[in-house]
Amino acid sequence: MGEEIFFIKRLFTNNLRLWFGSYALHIGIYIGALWIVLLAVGAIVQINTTNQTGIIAGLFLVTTTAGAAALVLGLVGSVYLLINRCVDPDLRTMSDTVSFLNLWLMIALFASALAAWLAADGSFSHLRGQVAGLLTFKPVTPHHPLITAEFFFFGVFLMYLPFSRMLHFAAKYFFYHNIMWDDETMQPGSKLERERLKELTYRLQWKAPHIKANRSWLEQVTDEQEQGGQKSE
Amino acid sequence: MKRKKKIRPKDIGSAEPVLSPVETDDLDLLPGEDAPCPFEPVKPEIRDQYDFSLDGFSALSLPIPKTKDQQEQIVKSFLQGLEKLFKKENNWPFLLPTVLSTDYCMRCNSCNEACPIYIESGRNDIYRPNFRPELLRRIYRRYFTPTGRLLGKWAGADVELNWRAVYRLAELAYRCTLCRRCATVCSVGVDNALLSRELRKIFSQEMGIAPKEVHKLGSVQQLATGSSTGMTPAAFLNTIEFIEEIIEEKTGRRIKIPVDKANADIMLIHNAGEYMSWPENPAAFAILFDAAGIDWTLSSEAMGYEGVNYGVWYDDIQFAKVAVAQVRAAKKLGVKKIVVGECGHATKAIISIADRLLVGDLAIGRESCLPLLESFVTSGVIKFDPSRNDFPVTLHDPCSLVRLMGIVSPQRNIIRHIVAPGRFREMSNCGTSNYCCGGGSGLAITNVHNFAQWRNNISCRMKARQVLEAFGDCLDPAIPKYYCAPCSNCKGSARDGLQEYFGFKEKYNIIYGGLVDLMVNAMTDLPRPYISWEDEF
Repeated sequence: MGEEIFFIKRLFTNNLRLWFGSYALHIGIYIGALWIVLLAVGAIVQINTTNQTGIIAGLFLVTTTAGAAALVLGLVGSVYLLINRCVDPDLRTMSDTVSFLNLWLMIALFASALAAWLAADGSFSHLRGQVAGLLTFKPVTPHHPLITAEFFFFGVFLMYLPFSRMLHFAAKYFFYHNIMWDDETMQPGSKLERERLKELTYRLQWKAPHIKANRSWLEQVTDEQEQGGQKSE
Repeated sequence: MKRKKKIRPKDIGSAEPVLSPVETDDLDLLPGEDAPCPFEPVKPEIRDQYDFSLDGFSALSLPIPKTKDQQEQIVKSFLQGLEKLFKKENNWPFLLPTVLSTDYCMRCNSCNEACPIYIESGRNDIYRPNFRPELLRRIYRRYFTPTGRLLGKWAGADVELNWRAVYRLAELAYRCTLCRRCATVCSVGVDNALLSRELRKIFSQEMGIAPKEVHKLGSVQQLATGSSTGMTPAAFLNTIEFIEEIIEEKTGRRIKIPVDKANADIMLIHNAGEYMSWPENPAAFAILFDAAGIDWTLSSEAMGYEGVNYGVWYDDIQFAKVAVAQVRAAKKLGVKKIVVGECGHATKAIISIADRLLVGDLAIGRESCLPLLESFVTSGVIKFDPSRNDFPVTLHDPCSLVRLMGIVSPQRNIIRHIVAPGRFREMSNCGTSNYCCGGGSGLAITNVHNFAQWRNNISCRMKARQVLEAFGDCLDPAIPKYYCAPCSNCKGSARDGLQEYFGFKEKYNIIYGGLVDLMVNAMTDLPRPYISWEDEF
């Protein structure tokens, strides 16, 4: 699982061309998450002290570096993936509109943030102030349209994420642990058995002739067993 | 070879007479193949009656609807089934993987190159492993989600259904062997093969559509008579007597095969196809079990002597009926556990899939035969002489046993002990990255209309290629070669595809058979070879 999370190994092995873009995008997101944490830590420090120590300066420098790296990698990866999806006839054939919209959203998110950093907030001090404002319930007005755009796209991203296939990072856990590697065997009296016993009482609504409508799974199986035995003896 | 015309998912209902025809020119030649066998044209009276509009082939014999009402009913019925697929009451066993695989495919196409059918078809768009699941996703979104209804293609819901789209989707669900090689390469974990099976469930469980060999002549016949072959308990007992005679003829031993022995340690259950087509295989089991002194039995109870469970390919209810009936036969005998013979899907069905079904007193030990057979060679209970198998051997990995259950090493350990040094060679892509025999998930037994031509020429082509490559250094027909396939279904594919269609026996002297046949052939105390190269296979 770790190999998949940190290296996207299966994509590397099976689809190297796409892996370059996907890996850049994902690493950009991971570092981006770290960057937000660093901004929050910096904001807490900023709230609690006005002294600028070497440690604090170091924290701010790391924050700036992480932010820049995240935005550049995220943007490069998103653009790379979008270009591939547009020019590769196989990918284009299988892509739905949402596949393109998702990448455009990621590009807008990373590009607006990168532009805001370059044009208006080189040390991310304004963003840190915004986070401090959130933590102290004292909202700060963005001082530049690009920062407003950055917030807008980040907000859209956060609202859209739970309803989109971009949530695959969470689904992946269930794919790997509850489906692929679920080797739990049925034990008498176990929770697993109790759950299955309940499900076996569900009434089926399927309509094919070989299925008895509105009868439970258990009833389907029991009746057929009796029938089969009689016929064969 | 790249095809020029691209078929998009939203084209599925197009008015084209055949959406994506398969031409032999698209196929890559096998080593030594001058040209693929041409596909025979379908008779006009058949083509007028049944739907061949997907790719020019038919596995389902779907009658072309004559009236508008019939056409509308097809669409309505499919949508009703699709809705049920996503309800826990109707699909609790597979709801989680179905929902996750529907929602989280990233359309990266990484699975495409893992699919032997897609590759060997000349990369026909409709055979992409993500093509049919993508249709399912878009149809579901279009008809059952508010965003799909409201936003259409902007929400990824651009497939409009008509009867032709439904019929093509039904046929398309049977252009996949459910080998699930595609699932193993997906970085997210999406299981597109599972969605192909879920589609089959809609057609079978709601619309009553399934290949007749799998349903009517398969699971329905099995539940009615005791076996998918139609073999009744009385016929089974006759067959056992016949097998005892085979054993005596081939080994000089008179072995009484135990039937209905109460409280035995093991109830062995075979794919009944073995009794009909390859009786040497259950005979070899009997020889080995007798030599090893195993406390075992067969059951003559209806459902107790037939290991297949075709429901695993297309229908959860048929699956459940068969699995429970098989276990009840074992419980009736009071055996300690069920051991499944050389049949991949039967092993997976009763051990893995049925595990979530066998509650309460139905819980009973269930094992593959392979670890037990391995113990025969490692314990020394039976003496083997590897020099008796002094010919090139390669091993096929049945998908159900290997990729889907993780049984990889026992069969290899056995071969190390029973085949002459240097004679065994792995295929490229072996173990869990194996390729399907070409007949998985019911394709091997589906022979309606022209479907066998599609299966043999396309679906079996990758396995044929692998076998030829594995024996590439000894293709001279003067050298006999053994393709070991420890699965009844895979042997069926080898018989129909490799032997009859591609002519491997005639051209290269490659025969196929099971693992137990090879084991008995190496037993030191048998007077003559068990495998007869000239008059079998």
